[in-house]
Amino acid sequence: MPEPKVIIISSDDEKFPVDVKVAEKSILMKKMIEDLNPDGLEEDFEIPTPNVRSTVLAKVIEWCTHHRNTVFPDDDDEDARKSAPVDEWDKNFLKVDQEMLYEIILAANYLNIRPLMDSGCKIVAEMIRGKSPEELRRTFNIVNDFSPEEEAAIRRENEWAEDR
Amino acid sequence: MTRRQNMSGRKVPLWTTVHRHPLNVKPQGNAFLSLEEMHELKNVPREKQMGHFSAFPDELLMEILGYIDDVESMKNLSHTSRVMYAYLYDEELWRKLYISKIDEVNSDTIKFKWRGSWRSSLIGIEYDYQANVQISGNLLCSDVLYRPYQCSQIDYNRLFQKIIKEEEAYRNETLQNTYDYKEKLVSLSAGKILRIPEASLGLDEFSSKFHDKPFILFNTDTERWPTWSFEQLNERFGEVSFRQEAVRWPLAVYLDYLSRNHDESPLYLFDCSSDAMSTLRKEFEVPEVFQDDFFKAFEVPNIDCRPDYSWIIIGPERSGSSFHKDPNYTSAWNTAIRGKKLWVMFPPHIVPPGVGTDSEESEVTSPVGIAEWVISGFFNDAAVMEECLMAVTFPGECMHVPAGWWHSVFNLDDSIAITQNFVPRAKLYETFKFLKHRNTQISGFYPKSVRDAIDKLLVDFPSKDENVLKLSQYKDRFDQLNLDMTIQNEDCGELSSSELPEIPIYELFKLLLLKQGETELVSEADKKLTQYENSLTELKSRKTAWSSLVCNNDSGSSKDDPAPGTGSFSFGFNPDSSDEEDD
Repeated sequence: MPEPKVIIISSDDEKFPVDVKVAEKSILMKKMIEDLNPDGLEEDFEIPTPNVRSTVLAKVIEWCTHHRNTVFPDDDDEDARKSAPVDEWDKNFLKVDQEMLYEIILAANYLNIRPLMDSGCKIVAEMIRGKSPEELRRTFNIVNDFSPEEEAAIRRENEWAEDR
Repeated sequence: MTRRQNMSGRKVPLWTTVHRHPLNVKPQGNAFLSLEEMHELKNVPREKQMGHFSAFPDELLMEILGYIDDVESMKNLSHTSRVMYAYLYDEELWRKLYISKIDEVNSDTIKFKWRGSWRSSLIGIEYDYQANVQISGNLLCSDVLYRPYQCSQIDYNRLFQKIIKEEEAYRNETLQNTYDYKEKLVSLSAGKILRIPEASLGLDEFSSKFHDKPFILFNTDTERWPTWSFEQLNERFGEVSFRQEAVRWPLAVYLDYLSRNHDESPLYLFDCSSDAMSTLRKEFEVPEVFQDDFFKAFEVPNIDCRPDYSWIIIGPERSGSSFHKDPNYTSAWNTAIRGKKLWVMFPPHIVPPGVGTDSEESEVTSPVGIAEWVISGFFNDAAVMEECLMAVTFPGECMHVPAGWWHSVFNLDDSIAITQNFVPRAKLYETFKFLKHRNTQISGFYPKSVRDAIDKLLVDFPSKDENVLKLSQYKDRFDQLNLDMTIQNEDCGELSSSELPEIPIYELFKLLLLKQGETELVSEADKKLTQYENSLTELKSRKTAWSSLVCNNDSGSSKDDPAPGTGSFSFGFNPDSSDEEDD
């Protein structure tokens, strides 16, 4: 008999059969699998993810499959997680349009996949780095309604800044 | 009045803690109010002001923003729109940014000027010169942004005015010649902490009656304790660096921070090793009953591996510590030098409301800060519990915190205090028990200095009893491993995974005491320990018998019985509590 699979179901009802090891990259799914199958998987086990679209879920599963054997640093060590550079494979993997990037971050957050969150958030931080307010508005489609007085106050925040 | 009614009198009015956010960010609940008003205002909607960032819920957005690692980017993003300005106004984001930066360089070596908030200090402008663009109406309702600010504005003197008044009255009573603490012990209302004149309490009475009770030592001599003011300390030690949690600023910088900040949990100066501390330590005398301290054994020449235990604590109003037990099952005393402190305490077996812990108490989780603990209602939950003790210490008063007691401290004013941990003779058995059976929770000892202490000590113990064996095994293993220096000099409580065996502090402590000639006390404590261990074994075998009984019972009715594995089972009810309702 083949190994039982975890069947992850997207919001648009697409089914993704994966190995337990792949699904367990998501702490949410890992706990569900453990809690509902205390004696281990005996048959296929379905997990619905009602707020992840199939195209996004496919990406997330691709990531989990690639990293099925990766050992990540301790979750609790926030400084270490944040200061580590983005993994090269992840960097390429996350070369997607902005909407997809955001949806991957949302899915990683929901499914509790810390290292994928880390990579996604670092890419967003890189998109922010080194840009002027005007460039940032363009990049992130932010609409500004500062009054002329507020514009002046904002400018002063820059001008009055002394050497640090 | 019944005891319970008396207890509920300690509750505080939480609705008084609402303040306007400087940018007019509103609490989340406001989102449900006056929708029409929002449409009338000619604002660019929140979503548009956030652009792509509106895809994320607030908590997640703050987390993403936490990955920005330079000041310029943070500032520029805050300058993109009013709503983004508000998200990036959060002090915690800027504080984290600063702290992650100073990891690389020591904070005492870079010039840093405090300007009233983390944001203004990092940007390099005075607090009042910030643009503070205003959010109109209910455009931005967010607890994630509002709650920390609300916590930073809490006014404990107003909130706790009733208990402060009561404590003031009690304290004035102690200053009268007629005050008799033994009489007071009988008449003291429930939930309060006894005040004892320092001169009246001898070691015998402390050891027999008070070693496991909180009490406040006072002294009518106003020169009993130092009266350092902030100005004096600044004059004397302004340039000296002290440790404040993750940072290490010169005192002058910290005192600027102390006088104005908007942190939810202000940085607390907790220092034992600065140059100033060795001077300051000579300016006070430890109360006599607390001088009986068995951890002094770790301080003798050549041994010298005692965990830090003598601290100066400085913190602004609103600073303090959330619920904890002191390390290594030590007791503590704490004298307020400046400022009032509110103490909330629970006996060892009662986990305080809002605190989560496992049965071994190896992990303790509680809300972000003490203000949140109060605002969320946990203070009021605690206030109605009979086991909960509360008191306010005034300058010159010394609180005794018995070993194992949960305590949380609120600085009601800008505060200076001194505190020390100690192990009184009455606690020797329990300290042994902790060091032996909660080995992984030991902290403050360093592998290298423990190894060296063992090396020196074993010269005096040629015989190979099991304690000696355990110690030499540790030393040998240490020597074989060729450990990295950072591991050798890391706090054993922080070493989660290492190849080192369990740190043999129990054995080391015992041999040190024996060497000092404390044979009688050690064997007495050890006898109790053996009894405890025997009772554990007995309980275990009974449990095994019980589980097998329960497992053989297929009727499924066992759910009403105590779960196997809970061992000593207690419902935690006070036997007489049920009568009190009828008083």
